[in-house]
Amino acid sequence: MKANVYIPTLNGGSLFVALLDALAGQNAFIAERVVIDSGSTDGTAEAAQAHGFKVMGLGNNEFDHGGTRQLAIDTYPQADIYIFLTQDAIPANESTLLNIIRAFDDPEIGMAYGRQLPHKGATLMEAHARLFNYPPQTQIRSLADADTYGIKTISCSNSFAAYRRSAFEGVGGFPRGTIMGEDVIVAGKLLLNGWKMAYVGDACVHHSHAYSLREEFERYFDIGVFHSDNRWIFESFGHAYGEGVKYAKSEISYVARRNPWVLPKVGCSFMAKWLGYRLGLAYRSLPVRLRRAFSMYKSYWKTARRLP
Amino acid sequence: MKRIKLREIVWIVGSLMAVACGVRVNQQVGAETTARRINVKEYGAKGDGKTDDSRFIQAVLDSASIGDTVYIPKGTYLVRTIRLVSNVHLVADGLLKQPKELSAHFAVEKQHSDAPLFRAHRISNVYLSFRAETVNEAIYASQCSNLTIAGSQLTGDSTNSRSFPAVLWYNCAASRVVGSTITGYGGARESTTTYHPGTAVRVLSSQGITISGNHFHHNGENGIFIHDSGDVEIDGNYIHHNGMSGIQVAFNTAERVTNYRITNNRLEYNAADAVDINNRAHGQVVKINALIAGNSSKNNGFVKGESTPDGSGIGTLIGISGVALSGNRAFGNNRPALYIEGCGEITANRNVTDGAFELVGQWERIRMEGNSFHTLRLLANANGRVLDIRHSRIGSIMLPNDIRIDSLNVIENHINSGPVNVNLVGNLKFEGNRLKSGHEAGALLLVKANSVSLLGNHIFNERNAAITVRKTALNVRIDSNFVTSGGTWIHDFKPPNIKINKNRIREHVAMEAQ
Repeated sequence: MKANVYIPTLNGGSLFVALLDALAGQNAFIAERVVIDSGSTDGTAEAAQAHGFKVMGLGNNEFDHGGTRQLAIDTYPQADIYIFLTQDAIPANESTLLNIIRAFDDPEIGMAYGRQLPHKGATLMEAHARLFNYPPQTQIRSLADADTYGIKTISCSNSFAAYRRSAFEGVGGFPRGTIMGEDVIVAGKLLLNGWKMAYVGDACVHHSHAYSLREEFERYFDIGVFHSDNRWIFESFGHAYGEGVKYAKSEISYVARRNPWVLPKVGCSFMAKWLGYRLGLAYRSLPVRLRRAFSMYKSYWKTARRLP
Repeated sequence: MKRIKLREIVWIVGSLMAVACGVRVNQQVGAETTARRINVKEYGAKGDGKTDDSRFIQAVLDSASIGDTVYIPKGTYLVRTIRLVSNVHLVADGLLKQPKELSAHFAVEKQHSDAPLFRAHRISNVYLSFRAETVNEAIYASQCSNLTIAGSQLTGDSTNSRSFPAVLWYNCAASRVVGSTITGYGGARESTTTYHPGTAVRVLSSQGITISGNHFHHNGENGIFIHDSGDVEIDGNYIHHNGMSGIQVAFNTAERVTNYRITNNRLEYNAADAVDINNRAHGQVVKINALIAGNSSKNNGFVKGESTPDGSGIGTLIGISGVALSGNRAFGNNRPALYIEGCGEITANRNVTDGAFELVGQWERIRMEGNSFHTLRLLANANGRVLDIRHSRIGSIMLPNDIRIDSLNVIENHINSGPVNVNLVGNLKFEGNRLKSGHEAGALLLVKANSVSLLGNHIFNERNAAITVRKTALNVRIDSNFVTSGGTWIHDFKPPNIKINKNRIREHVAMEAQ
């Protein structure tokens, strides 16, 4: 199967250089390597070009999680599998891409996403987030699993994900104009159309973030906005009641065993996430300037469609 | 002591967080510094409800610069027609009111008036937020882009039996109606057979349209009518008490009609369908890539309690393909919740309704999973390649005689009321189902089929034979079923190649179908 790799970038820095090196060592054949750059000034585009990437800009468009990725595909569509990485997701070994491509040997698989391991030197909290959400076991999920997993049935991440072209096109590609979750929307549509998705436990990248409290707040505000704007996903797949509590208990336990002095920070992090999420859910009642101020994705609120 | 609500706590702590995060709450989006807000009263408009303020407002618009906002303060402004200008916005706290004498009538031959309140032609980048009482369109825009109507309240003339729509977009792009209320365009429907033209939002030959968070009610025709347009998002609207469908999508050349997202809408008490996507006239099945999800509907398809010819709750789909319907809820509607006629590939998953799913004419592949619905009903002309129904709760299945389905798969469903009558040209897999029947005819009648696999079902039958197999049912395999029957378990007319194995039987059991 012919696969392309697409990476949106903006000032990728040293992690991006590490990603380029790791990609160069992959034992999978990649037909086209594409970087879509939002105007880097740190040499990201040049480094990509030097590693054989096609580099394209956004033209007159603002960055848009779905729209920008779709633009890359529209420009370089010739492949059976579209693989997406973020600029800070570094393949953990030389088989990372091969393993995610192999998931598509099953003709029922429409999309796959890989395991995310914490970066070396990651904080306890960011390490826990990866270990909790990305277990080592591979899992195949279909619509029939919605009763069991609820919204988690379509949990996935474009930090490292791959799509079968025929399935992807069948659901209209990535949606434009979403604050986040373009991957989840596509996954939802794929499962509704009868495809299955794979979580590939042996296709690993190092990818984690040490968010400040403010960033945690902003990120969860955006998640709340996404959930508010896409209630149909919950109507279709159900909720995942109790997952938040389960996560919190797990994180407290994980941190307490390793460094209890971090627990106050964990508590503040929970508070920031909860607040951000609740405000995000109620974003329509917030003035535009607060929406923008609370959001991690500031430019999303620039356009008039977000004004009311 | 007064209770502090959760919402208040969120607000208080949220504000503290905002401060802690260093949020600059006074910062303006876009940080534009030169745009002005121009008060029309400072330029001669009276707002007394008697003086014609059209020319004052027009003069302000014409003299405004890029990015300026024309502001209309409180008051009632008599206005005839205003021409909008590119890159100049308009916000009105006052009420814009058209004089009655401008009132004209919609006709198929003339679908726009000569005197809309706002006329927009070949302009772009305009934001409108206003209150208006109009006798014709509140806005008629043609060949425009990036128009936004937000937070507006538009009231039409409900005495006009042939009203123009409130919002008419022709050949527009990247435009939206959000957070607005539109009511009274066209007279109320009085009859089950006829309606009065007048639609809240009418979109023709346009691309990139968003209609979200609005309230459209008591209009003569549709809440939203889309014709020959694509890339359309209709989300989170409350559409009720309109004289035809809540949302109707129609076709012309068909190439444009693709990428629809119809989600999270409430569609209630409309006189026709909740969602109607009708490509019957075009003559060939068109793949439209539509998601219809998370909508709720009730009581559509009635006028004063009497049934109209329409009233589906989840969707009426005719001549289209590439549609996924998911997580919708529909109750108390007049017609089948889901009506599918002459379609290609349709997927319906996890919908809940007290209505029927009805299939008419040809189809390519229909897949239904995890639904709960009253009846699956196929009409006599049903002719499909694949019909796959699984993991659903179904009241009953009504299959007329001599239909044609190449592959009919009924897998792991709960079917509450038999009999299931199988008299078709094609192949049936009936596996892992729970089927109950209190009917004289038993639970399952296998009259005609090319092949039948009856495997692992639990069948509870109150009267007579649970399963009847006629000679014209070919290649029947009845294996590993659990059959409890008030009569005999099988009435076998010995068709060729019948195979019966490993079934667990309880016969002549005194029981009531549950």
